Amino acid sequence: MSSINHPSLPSRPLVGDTLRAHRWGIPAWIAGAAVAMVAIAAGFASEVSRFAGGAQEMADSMRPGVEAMRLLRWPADRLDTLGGYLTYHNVTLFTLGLTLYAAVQGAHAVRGAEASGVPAQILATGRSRTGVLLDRAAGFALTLALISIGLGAGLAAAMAVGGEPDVGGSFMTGSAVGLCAFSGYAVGVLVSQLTSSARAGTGIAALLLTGLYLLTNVADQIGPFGVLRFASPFHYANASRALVPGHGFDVVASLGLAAAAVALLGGAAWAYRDRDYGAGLWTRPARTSRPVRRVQRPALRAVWSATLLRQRLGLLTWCAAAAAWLALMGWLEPTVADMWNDFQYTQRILGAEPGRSVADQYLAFAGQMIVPIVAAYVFTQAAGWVNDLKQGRVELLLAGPVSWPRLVGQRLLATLTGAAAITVAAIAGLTAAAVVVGAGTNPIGLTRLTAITLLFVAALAAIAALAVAWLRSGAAVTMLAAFLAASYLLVYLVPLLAWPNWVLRASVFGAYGNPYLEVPAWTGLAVLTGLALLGGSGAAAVAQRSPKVAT
Amino acid sequence: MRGQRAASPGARDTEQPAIECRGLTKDYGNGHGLFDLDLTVRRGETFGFIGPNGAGKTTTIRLLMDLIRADRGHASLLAMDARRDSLAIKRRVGYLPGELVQFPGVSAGYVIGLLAGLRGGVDPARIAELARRLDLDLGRRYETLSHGNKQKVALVQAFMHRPELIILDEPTLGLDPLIQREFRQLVGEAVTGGATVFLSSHVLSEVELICDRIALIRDGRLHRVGSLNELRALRVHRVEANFTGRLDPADLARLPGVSDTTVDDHHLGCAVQGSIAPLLPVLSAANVVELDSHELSLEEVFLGEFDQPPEPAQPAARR
Repeated sequence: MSSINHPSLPSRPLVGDTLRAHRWGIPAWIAGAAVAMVAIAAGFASEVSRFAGGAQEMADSMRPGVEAMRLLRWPADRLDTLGGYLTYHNVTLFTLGLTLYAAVQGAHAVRGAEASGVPAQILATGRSRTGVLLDRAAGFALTLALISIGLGAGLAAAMAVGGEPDVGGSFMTGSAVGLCAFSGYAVGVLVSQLTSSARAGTGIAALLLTGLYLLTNVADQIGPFGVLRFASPFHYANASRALVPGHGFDVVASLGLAAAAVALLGGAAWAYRDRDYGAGLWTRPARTSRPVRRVQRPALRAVWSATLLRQRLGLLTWCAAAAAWLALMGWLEPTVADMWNDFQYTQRILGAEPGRSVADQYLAFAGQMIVPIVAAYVFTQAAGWVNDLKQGRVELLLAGPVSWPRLVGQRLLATLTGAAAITVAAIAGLTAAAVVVGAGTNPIGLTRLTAITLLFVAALAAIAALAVAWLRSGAAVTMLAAFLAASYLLVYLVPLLAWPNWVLRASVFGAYGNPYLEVPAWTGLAVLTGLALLGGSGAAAVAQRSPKVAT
Repeated sequence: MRGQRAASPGARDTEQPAIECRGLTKDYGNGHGLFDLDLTVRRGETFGFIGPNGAGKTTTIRLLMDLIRADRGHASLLAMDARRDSLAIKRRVGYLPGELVQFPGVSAGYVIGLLAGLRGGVDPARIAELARRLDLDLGRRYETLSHGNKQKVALVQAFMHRPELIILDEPTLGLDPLIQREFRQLVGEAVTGGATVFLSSHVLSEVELICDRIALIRDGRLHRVGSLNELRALRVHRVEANFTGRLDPADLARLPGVSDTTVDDHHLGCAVQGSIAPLLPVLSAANVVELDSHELSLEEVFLGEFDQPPEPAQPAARR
C-alpha cells in the first residue's frame, strides 16, 4: 500500500492542493508583513532620533496611552527598544489578523468546500474523512510555516533597518505567530463542523477569537474572568516575545499551543466523522415550510434593496459591532484623554490643531475608528461581487432587463446604504458612551463625521467596483486590500518620517482627515469625490464594454 | 399583463426570424469558441441546438444573450440587435443558464421574487402555477435544494413572464422523468401561444421529442441544420438476413446506399441508407429465409456523424 493512501499519513496531492490554494495568500501576507515591519521600524528609529530625551523618554511618554489602549494591543514591554515597540505595535495585531485569516480558512477548508461538491469527490476516492481533514490541516500548516518564515525575514530586515539586528529573535517571533494562527485554524475547522453552515462557523470562530484576543489584553483587570485567558491562543503566543530584551521564545507555551491545535483538530475529526455531509453536527431539523403565496415584494424590485434584504442579519451584526466598538472608545475617554498633550507622535497622527480640548481630540480620534470598520464592510461587499460572478448570479441578473451599468450603480447604492446604517449605529454608540462618561459631543462635528464617512465609502466602493469590473476575479479583492494597506500605511509614515502633509492626501484615510473637528482639506475632499465619480463611472464603462459573465 | 406574452410583438417584426446569426464568432484561442455561425430560427419554432460537451452551445447562447461579446459577426433576436438592443430583447426573452446558480442564505421564493421584481409585471398567479406544476417548494432555502429542484427554480424564472423567445441551455439537467414531461408540456404550451423556443442539449432523445428543427454543432462550427424529417432521411437501416443460397458481397457493394457489409456463413449484415428496395431482389435470389431490419435512432445517426473526424463548416446550401 502506498503512503498516499495510508489513512494516518497526509496525502501528498491534497496537501499540495491546499498549498496551491494559498499560493497568492502566502506572498501577500509576507509582503504585507515585510512592508509594515520595515516601515514602522524606520519610523521608530526616526522618531527616537528626534525625540527630546531619547528612546526612554519617548517610551515613558507613550506609556499612559499604551495602558489606556491596552484592550487593542498588549503586552507592551521595553517600548524604548525597537524589538519591544515592534512586538507591541505590529506583531500583536499581525498575530490577530493572521489568526482570524486562519480561522476563516479553517472554516472553509472542509465544511465550506462542501458547497462545491469537491470533498464528496475526494471522499469517493476512498480517502477517509479524518484523512481529508488531516491533509487539509497539514497543507495549511505548511502554508503558515512559509508565512512565518517570511514574517521572520521581514522582522529581521526591520530590526536591521532600525539598528537593532536580531535574526534569531525575528524568526522565533515568526514561529510563535504561526503557531497561534494554526490554533486559530483549528478553531475554525472545529466550529464549522458544528454549525449549520460554513458562514455561521466562520462568524462564530472569528467572534470567539476576537473576544479571546481582547480578553487576553485586559485579563489582569477583569477579576475572576481573567482566568479565561488560559483558553486564549493569544495568551500563549504573547508568552514568546523573542524580540523584547529580557524575554525569549517560550517553548512550553508554544508546545501548549501546538497541543491545543492538535486537540481541536481531533475534536473536529470526531465531529466530521459523525455528521452528515453538507450539514453541521448540530443542525436543527428542517421546519415545515409554509406554502408561499406571494414571492414578489417591494424590496425585491431593485438589486440594491434586494441585496440589503438578503444581508439584513449580517448588516445588523455590523451595526451592533460598530456601535459597541465606538461605545467602548467613548467609554475610554476619561482614561486616555489626560496623557495626550504629552505625546507629540499621536498628535501628529491625529492631525489635531493645538488649542482643541483634549476631550474633543479624543472623540475625534474615536470617531475616526469608523473608517476601518466601513472600509472592512466595503471589502466584504467587493468580495461578494466577485462571488456573484463566480456563482452565476450575475449571469442570471443580466439575463433580465438589467444592464451592467445599472447593476454597478445598484451595488454601489446598496453598499452606501449599508455603510450609512453602520455609520449611524457607530456614532450612536459613541454618543451614548460619551454622554455616560460626561464628555460632551458636538452635533455639527458628528454630522460632518457622518457625511465625510459616506463620501469615503463612496470613493472606496467605486474603486472596489472598478477593480471587480476590470479583473473579475479574487485578484480584485487582493488589489483592494493592497490599496487599503498602502493607504493606511501612508497615514503612519507621513508623520513618522516627517513627509510633507500633502502626501497624506494621496491616501484615502489621509484624505478623510479629521471631520469631527474640522472640514477636511479641499484636496482631500477633491480626492474622495474624484475617486467616487471616476471610479463609479469607470466601473460602469469597463463592465459595459466587456460584459464577460464567466470567470 | 396577465395571461399574455410579456410584450406583444409588432406586426412588422413577427415576419422576421426569432434568431438570426451571421458569421458570429467568439475565439477563445486554441480552437475553442464559436466560429462563423450562420443560423436562422424562425418564429414559433422549437429549435434544438445539439452538440457534445465543449462544442460551443453555451458560448452561442451567451452571445445571443449579450452576456459575452462576439469578436465578429452579428446576431439579432426578435428583429433587434443582440448587443445594441440587449435590454429590450431581455424583456421579451426567457433564459435558463447552463450552469446552476448559487444563492446562499435565501429561499427559492427570494430568487424568483428578485428576478420577477427586476422584470416587473410578472403575474404572481403564473409563478404559483409554475411552482405547482413543477412541484417546487418556494419556501425552502435555495442552497438546500437538490440539483433538480434548483433547475426547477431556473425553469420557473425562464417561463414566468410568458416570454416570446425562450432560450434554454440544457434545460432538463437533473429533472426526473415526470418533471421532464411537465417541462415538455410547458414548451408545447409556449409554442402554441406563439413563442419560439431555442434549447441546447446533448440529450438527443429529448430534442427528438420536442424540437421541429435541429442544428448540430461541433468544435465551434455548425455541422448540420435540418428539420427532424430531413434528418430522419439520413437515417440508416441495419439489415440482418439468413440465407441458404449464394451471395456475392461484390454484388451488394454495387447497390445504392448499402454499406458496411459482412457476409459470414449464410448470414448477411449491412447498413442501408434510403430505400431498402434495391436490396430485396438480391436477397431473394440468395434464398433468404430470415430477414430483420431496424432503423437506427437519431442518436445513433448523430453518434456516427460525430465519430467522423471534423470537417470544415458546411456550405450554406446544406443548411
